[in-house]
Amino acid sequence: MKGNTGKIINVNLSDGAVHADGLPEAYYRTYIGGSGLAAKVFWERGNFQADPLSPEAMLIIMNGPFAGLKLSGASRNSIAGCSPLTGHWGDSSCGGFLAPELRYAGYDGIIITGKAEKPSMLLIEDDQIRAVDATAYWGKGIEEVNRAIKEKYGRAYRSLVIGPAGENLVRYAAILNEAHHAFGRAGFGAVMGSKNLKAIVVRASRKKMEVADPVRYEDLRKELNLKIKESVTSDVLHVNGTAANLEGGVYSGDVPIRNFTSNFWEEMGDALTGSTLTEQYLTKRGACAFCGIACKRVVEVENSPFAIPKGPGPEYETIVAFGSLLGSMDLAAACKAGRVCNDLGMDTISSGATIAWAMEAFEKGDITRDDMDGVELRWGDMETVIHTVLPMIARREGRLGSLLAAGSVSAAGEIDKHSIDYTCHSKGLEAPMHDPRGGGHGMALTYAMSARGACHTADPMLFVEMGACYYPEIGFEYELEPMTDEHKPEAAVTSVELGAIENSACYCQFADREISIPEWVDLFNSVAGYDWDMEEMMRAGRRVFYLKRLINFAYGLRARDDDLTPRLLEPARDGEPEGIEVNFVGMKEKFYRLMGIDAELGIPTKERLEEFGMGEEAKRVW
Amino acid sequence: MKITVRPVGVVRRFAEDQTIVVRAGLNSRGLIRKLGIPHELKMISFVNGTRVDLNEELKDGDEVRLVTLLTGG
Repeated sequence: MKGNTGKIINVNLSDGAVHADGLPEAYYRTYIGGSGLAAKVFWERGNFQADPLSPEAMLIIMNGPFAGLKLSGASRNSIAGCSPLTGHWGDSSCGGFLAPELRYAGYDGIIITGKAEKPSMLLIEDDQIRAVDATAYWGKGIEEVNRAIKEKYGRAYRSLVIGPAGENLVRYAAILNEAHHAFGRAGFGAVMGSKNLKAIVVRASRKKMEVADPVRYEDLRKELNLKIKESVTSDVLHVNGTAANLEGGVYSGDVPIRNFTSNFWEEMGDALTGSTLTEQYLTKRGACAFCGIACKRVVEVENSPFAIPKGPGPEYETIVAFGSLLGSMDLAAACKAGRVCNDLGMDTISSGATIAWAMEAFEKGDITRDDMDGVELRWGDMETVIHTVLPMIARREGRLGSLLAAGSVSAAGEIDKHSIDYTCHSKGLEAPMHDPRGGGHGMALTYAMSARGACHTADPMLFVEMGACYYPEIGFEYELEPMTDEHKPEAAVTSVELGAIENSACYCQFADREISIPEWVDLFNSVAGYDWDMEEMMRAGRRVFYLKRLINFAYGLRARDDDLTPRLLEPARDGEPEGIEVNFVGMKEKFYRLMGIDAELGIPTKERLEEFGMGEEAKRVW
Repeated sequence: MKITVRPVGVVRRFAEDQTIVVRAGLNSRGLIRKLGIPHELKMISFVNGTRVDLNEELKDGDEVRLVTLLTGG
């Protein structure tokens, strides 16, 4: 096997048993790697009856075949399993430095079950793998623990660490790599916490890997790195980060405001956008391993109530989740909130979205000061959010902490009063900071069809609707108008396949926009030694999309769950999308039909599964 | 005719706020090309605060906001 190592680390924290073994090569060829391969492992070995926070629950960390390559955008990987936030399939993707280190150490992934008796850390040094005592780190913030790990073992050791939120089982707890790059979504920090696993640390003594066709790969690598670095998108991302065009998003109605109740706030766009971040707080640009784009930010905020020392800066999602979504246009506050979430180990999207829901509930009188331990939740009051609400959530302190630590859907279920109507989610996962009513109606399909719940990175629809995705080789050349349903179901069919490929290959969506379909195929073939053509690659993407649906079916999800909450579908009240209906039902029906998905069960028909070589999987559901 | 151009967000990297003299009959698509904004960017245009089709002719005194749909994060 080339590209991949074919080896997986299996850890049972209950008895400390560790062994490395291989996965069948067919798994890699049919489900690619990353979240697709993790889904296959989970489908075959997962315990679907296990509570996601029980020792029996399985936590899977999985690389793609390109981990370790010196290629822009290739240094991501996935963490997957049953999400404690949603109770069904979840996966979370992250860049940084873990994927190549794990690859060089000799592994494609780690499968963790059990629960350690005391706080532990998994230490991987080439073929030496052991759980060590981490009692001294328990209760501490991620920045401090990451620093302590580096001091004890050396800077070259790559870390995954959870914070107090993960220890306290906050349902949207994150896992951070190098205290900067976040596996944010779906709450796997809580799964680590439930296993008494504070950190995973990896060190490889040699930095080499083999590819199937070194000559072809090297040519391709040079071509792609140049193309990626020189693209307009990369230049924009490099100079002003992922929030570079935030004010453009305000004009199109993509940026959510006050819990998705408004789609236009002109001054906010200028206040929060990437160029403002660059001018006011940027000290350095950063990158994931081997990436020439360098969209990461390092910031310092001085002379502000929200001052922070030099360190990781916020992405677009964090800026909006702790900016306009909460009725704030204070960029320093968004920087600070992001830093606090990183240190406590909480997903900034679900944190911001849950607080936004609570602010609206407070405004409506559905929750009161008495319900919130005397805390008032007011739009734009970032001091309370940062200094009171976030720490209380991470500690699950008081009624406020315990209510909001479960996420917006659970909290709305608890207080009732129809407050579920103004949650903004799909399948229990809070929606990210792109409003499908203004950003593009295709995004409504993406949110609803994504196996983990509302997710803008499940497939590249965001880029498809903004005209940044053209693949003429496979007939994918849509000129789409964002705020209509025209051609969206047809575009979504290819988009979900592409999304499954990039998330299984663990490739960054910013970088891979520049990779053509033939180049994708070439990359798989020259690195992993496959003999794929375009059709075979797209079929692999389709299989991954289907398999995650089968997993959710096993968890009891049906077609009715492929839905969005009313707030995300009602006509917008202002801005560019004002009054425009989203034909969600029509788009969903057509997408189902094109994908061969049963309109009641929400899974592909037996015939369709067999057509894609999933006959064995079909036997378990049909 | 004279029009005022107000690029928004990322578009400001490629064009500045300016009032320029252009030929009669120019539309937003032609203006975008004239300003040298990269063709990779999908653009939308707001004339005097209202979204217009890129092929709609501009008029003397119009204020044109040029927005790209590029987004991220």
